[in-house]
Amino acid sequence: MNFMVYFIPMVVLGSFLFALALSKVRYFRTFFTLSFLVANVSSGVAYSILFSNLFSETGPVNSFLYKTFGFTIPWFSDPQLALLSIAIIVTWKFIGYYGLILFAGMEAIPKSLYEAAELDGASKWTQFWRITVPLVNPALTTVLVFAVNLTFGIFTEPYMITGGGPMRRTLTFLLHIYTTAFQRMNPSYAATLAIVTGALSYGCVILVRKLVEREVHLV
Amino acid sequence: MKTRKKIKVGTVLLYIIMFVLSIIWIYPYVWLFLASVKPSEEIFTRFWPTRLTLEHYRFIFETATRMERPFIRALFNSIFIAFTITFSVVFTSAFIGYALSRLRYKGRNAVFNFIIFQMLFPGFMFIVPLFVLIKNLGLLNTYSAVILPSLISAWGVFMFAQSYKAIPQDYIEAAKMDGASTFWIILRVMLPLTRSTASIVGLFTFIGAWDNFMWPLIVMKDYNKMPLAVLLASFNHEYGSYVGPLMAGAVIQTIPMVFIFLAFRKYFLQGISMSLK
Repeated sequence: MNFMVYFIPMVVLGSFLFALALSKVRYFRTFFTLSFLVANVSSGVAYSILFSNLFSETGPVNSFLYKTFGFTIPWFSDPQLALLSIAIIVTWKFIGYYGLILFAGMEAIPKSLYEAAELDGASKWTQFWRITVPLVNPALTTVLVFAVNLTFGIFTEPYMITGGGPMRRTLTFLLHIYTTAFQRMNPSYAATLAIVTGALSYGCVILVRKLVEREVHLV
Repeated sequence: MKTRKKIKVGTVLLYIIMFVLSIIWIYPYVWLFLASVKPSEEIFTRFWPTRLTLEHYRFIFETATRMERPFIRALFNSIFIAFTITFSVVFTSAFIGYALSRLRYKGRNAVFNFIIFQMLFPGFMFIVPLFVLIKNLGLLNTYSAVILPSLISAWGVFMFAQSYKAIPQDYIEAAKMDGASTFWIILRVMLPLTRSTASIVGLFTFIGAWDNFMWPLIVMKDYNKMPLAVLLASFNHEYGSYVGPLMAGAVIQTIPMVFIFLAFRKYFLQGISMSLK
C-alpha cells in the first residue's frame, strides 16, 4: 500500500514531464522515445537481477555516490528505502510507456487552440494549465488507472530483489497472496486476500475516475 | 531580440537534459551487457573492461547444465512456450473476434459484454482457483500448465472485434459471392486487412508470455521444463554470488525482447496510442 504513495506521484509526474519535453523537442525524437521505451520491454526477472546488483552495497551506484559525496545508501536493506528503491525501479520501467500515452494525448490537442490563446495574450504558463492539462485528461486517467492496477499486480520485482523483506515492508499484495498460498500452504486465506485485493483495486480505480476524469469536448 | 535568445538557450538546455536522461535510461543495459563480458573481478570495479571474455556465457551454458540448471533447454522452453501462446492467441482472437463482430445470432451482445466484463477482473484473483484446476487436471509440471491458461486472450478478441468493425461489409459479401466459406474469409480477407492489429496483438502477447514469471513459478518445479525467467530466478536464489553468469543469463533473457521491440517498434507505438481509446 505504501508502495502506491511513492510510485504513483513519481511515475505520473515523471511521465508527464517526459511527454511535455517530448512535445517540445523537434530532433532526435525517435532516439529519446526508444531509449525510454526500451526500459519497458526489459524482462522482469532480468532487470530485477540487474538492479539488485546495480544498487547493491558495492554496486556502481553506491561506489559513484561514495566517490563523489562520500556516503553510500543502503538501498535494499533499510525498510523504508527498500520500498522507495523498488518504486524507483518500476518508475524507470514505466515512464517511457506512460509518457507516450500522455504524449499521444497532447498531440491530439489542436494547435489552433494554442494560437487562439496566444492572440488573446495568454502566457505559456496559463496555456499549459488552461489548455494542456484539462485536454490531456483522458490520457491522464488512462495512465492513472494503469498505474493503480500495476501497484496491485506487482510481483516480480519485490520477489526477486527483496523477497518481501526487510521487516515485511516490501510485501506487496500479490507477493502476500503468493507466499500465503504456496509457501505457507493456506489457499483459502490466500483466496480471501485475492478477493479483498481485487475489491480494493477496483475501488481505487473507481475513485481515480471519480476524482480525475472529466468530460472533454473538443469543439 | 532578447526573448529569442532566451528561447534558444532553453531549447539547448532541454536537448542536453533529454540526452543525459536518455543515457541514464540506457545505462543499466550497457552496464548489464558489459558486466556479462568482463572478467568477474572487474564487474564492480571498472566500467570499461580491460579484456573481453565469454567465460560467463560458457559457464551458464556448460557448467550450469552440470549443476542441473539447463539453461539451453530453458531458452528453448521459453521460445516454445512464447511462440505457442502467441500463435494461438492471434488465431483464436481472429476467429472469435469475427464471430463477435460479423456473424448474427442470438445472444451475441451478451457474449461480447461478458468478455469485456471478464476483463475487468485482475488476473491475480484467479491464481488460487486456477492452480487447483491445473492440479486436478494432473497438469502440474507440464508445458500445458504454463500454456493452457493463456491460450485465449480476451484483450486480443476485443482488439480484433474492434478492428473488424472498420472493414466494409462489401468485402465479405464479395468474397461470399465468389464462394468463400467463413473460414476462408477470415484467413484470406479479414486477417490480411487487419495486419497491424494482428501484429500488435502478437507482439504484446509474445512479450507478455516471455516475461511471465509468477505463473510458471507456481506450476513448474521441474528444472528441465522451466522457462528461462524462472530458471534464472532460481539460479539467482541459490547461486547469487555468481554475478557474471547471472548477468550473462539476464542478457540472454533480455536480448530477444529488445530486438523484437526494435524491429516492431512501429506496431508497439501504435499499440500504445490505441490503448487510449
